[in-house]
Amino acid sequence: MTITVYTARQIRTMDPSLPTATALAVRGDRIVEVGTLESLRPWLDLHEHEVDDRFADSVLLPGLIDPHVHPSLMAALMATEWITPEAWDLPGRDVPATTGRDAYLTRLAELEAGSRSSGAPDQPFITFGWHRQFHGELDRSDLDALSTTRPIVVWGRSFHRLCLNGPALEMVEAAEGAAWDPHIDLETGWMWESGMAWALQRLRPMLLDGGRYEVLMEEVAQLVHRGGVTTIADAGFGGMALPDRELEVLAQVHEGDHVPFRQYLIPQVGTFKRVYGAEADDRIAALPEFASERIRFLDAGKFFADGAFIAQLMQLGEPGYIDGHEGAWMAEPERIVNHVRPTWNAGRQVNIHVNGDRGMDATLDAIAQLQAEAPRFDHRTVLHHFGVSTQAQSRRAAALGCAVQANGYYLRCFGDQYVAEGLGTERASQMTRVGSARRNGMSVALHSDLPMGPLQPLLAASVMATRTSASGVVLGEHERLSPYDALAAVTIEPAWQLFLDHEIGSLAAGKLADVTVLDADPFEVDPAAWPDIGITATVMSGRVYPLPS
Amino acid sequence: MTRAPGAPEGPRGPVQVGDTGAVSRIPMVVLGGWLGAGKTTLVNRLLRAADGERIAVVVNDIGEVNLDADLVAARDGDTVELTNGCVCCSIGDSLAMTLRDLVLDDRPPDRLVVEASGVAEPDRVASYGDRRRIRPDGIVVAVDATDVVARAADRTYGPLVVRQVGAAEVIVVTKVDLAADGGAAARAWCAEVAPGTPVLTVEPSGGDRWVAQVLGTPAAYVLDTGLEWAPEQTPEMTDIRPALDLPVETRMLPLGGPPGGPVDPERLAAGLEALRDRVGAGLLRAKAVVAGTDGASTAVHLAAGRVSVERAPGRATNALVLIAAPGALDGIALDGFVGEGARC
Repeated sequence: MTITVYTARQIRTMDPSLPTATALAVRGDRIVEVGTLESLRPWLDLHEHEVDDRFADSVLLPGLIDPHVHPSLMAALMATEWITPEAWDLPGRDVPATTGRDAYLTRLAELEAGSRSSGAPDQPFITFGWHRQFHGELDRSDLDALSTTRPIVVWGRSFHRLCLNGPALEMVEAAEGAAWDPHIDLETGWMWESGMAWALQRLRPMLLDGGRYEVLMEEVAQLVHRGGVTTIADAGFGGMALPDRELEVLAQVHEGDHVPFRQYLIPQVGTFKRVYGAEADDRIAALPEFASERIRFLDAGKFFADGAFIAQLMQLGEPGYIDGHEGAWMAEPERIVNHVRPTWNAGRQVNIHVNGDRGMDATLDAIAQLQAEAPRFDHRTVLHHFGVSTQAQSRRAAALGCAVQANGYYLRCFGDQYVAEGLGTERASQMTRVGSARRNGMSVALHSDLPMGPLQPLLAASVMATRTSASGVVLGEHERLSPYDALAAVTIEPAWQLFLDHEIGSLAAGKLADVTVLDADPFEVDPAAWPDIGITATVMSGRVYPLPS
Repeated sequence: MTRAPGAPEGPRGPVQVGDTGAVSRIPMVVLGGWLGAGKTTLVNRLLRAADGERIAVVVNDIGEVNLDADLVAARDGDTVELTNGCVCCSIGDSLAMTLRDLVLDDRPPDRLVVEASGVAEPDRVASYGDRRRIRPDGIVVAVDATDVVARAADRTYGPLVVRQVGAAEVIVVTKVDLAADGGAAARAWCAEVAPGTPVLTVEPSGGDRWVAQVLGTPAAYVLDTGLEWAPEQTPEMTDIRPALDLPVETRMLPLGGPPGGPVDPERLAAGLEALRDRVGAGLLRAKAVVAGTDGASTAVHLAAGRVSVERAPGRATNALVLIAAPGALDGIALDGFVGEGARC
């Protein structure tokens, strides 16, 4: 088999034994050597080869990894119109940042009128992205003012709330729901928490039926490619459209030589239990039978501790939220250990969604108890999101063998607001305290949690290296990642956390040839400018996937 | 149960408290209490103690309810059907949908018991369910005799523990055998934070009957099996009493002539409401199963301050049992409100 040698202006291997190089030799899907044309001579003297200089002016990084995304949820949301506090670059549309109540309502009216004239005046109008702290109060009367005949649904940026106009309330049978569920308010049009589940049961088919799911998953694939990402992990497989359906669409849309990334699925254990009951464990155990070239499974389980960061429903310890409201548990402290135990005892990896410091206490208590019951080395239990934590928890998590996987985007989007509301300056500045985690010796990786944040690892790395908020203020400079650690947090560290660091995450002989091709060297550019670095191509398992310019 | 910041208060739909339409509404008890207070133990024992009633228990996590294999008839997802006709299921995505599925089933249960999460406020949980089909039947809060006083003093968790107990209509003190003082401090604490709320004590040796006493409408047991025409002939009562540390007194009034004679349930309900208004919170519970003018058995309840009338499957006894705080009924001419005066 012919060896292909890619030459580059600079190769940043993210392997500390050989940090830089200028030539990368690939045979099939594997790297045979990283070095220089000179150092590669023993290989090239003996084997047929070609030198490919298409990246000669480029900088090569290991293929970027986003270890926590939700493709199916993103697909469902992309079936809606977006009006968000921050700008998004989505396939086929640019979503501008919209802030302020008037701007929000104006944009809402524009998009609604636009969708009316573009030929679907009878279809429900569903929009995603309203956030009270950016867009002010909203209720049914604002939406009834737009239309009293067409159903209009506003899906909050925090995902936990929906606001509906009269026809939409009728469409989801909200009056019937309100008799059963106190989280449905017909007067204001809001449906939240379990009330939202009532509505989603009826909205879900509108979002994902009739071939839309497949089309939107194709667009999600474009987002992955544009982010320069060659490996993703879905940390909640089965949670949106049910496991069988998700698997069917993945096999259809995200498999095949044209797909520039591979994905690892971590089953959402709770969903499997709900759908399959007593058979859930067998179903999960059988998942690897469905693995293919690009769709794979991790020997891991996903669990939840406390509520969402974006909705300020995480559980805070002392001194709590400034306004005194309380967070929520997704699994109460007494239950976390019971949920996790079977996975722990089976020697599988534990992934826990945890956002607030009280949630962190509950999580670490559970891991400590399991360590006492059945000690494990190298378990790589991953703490996902890592919103608010303390120094003490950081050291304890390190001692227990946990790893941190922080949302790299929280601070950018919500930092300013959380200084002003809920957390205050000290705690908001120390959200996602990744600097301490590194100093305490933990692995730190970053994720987007798409659609919670944009799938752009270089942006996440930039935010955690600079810790600048949307307004440009530096929040928690002592919790910055060094530029090296920030780039490691989107390459070799997520690879380690996925138990894949022997295969991906750095460029070294024997590993898979996964590369992200850049038009500038991040080690020579201010981290603040990383999001502006052009991504011109990716290589996945030795195959080149140029990005449309 | 916590509201999102800024989320509006939930509405109460078309709630018809004291609905006297003769539609059979399913009574719903909410079982609350702090983490580890013994709620799941109560649920377990309740399911075993169900005596011919089809009870549907909605729990947070069905995996934690240890059901004997010989008690399980069928499993379907997160629902377990028991050989005694009871059903146990998880809350799942939404308590509202779970309740709706249970109530609108072809074979709806006779009774609903919802186990609130240990960190939930049980009165919020009690606000779920369509009142046209579900009758709130009280909030029972379990209190851990070994732990509650310390827990209530906790700066972080204390306020929630106090709110939970404050929402209780019956308090059950658990683990008294493990408490050095036999639960005295816990009982005293309950009396302080929830004055007037009945406090029961779970004696481990007391058998399972108290479970039904606590979780079911007390009248369901006291009346239907205990207080027949001649209560002294029913040994069950002596079974029950030692297990209860219940500062209440029970009165029984015959409502008419022989059992089976007609009594107007609407008039009895009106009389009970008047009595409730007169006695106030001291009137804890009342129940009668009467033979209406159409010959069908009808139950008249007073539970949690609400009076309701519904069809009853059982035999009419034409006796009214009143459960009240000691002394609350003293000097009140009960007959003027209920009893003989309610006869057709």
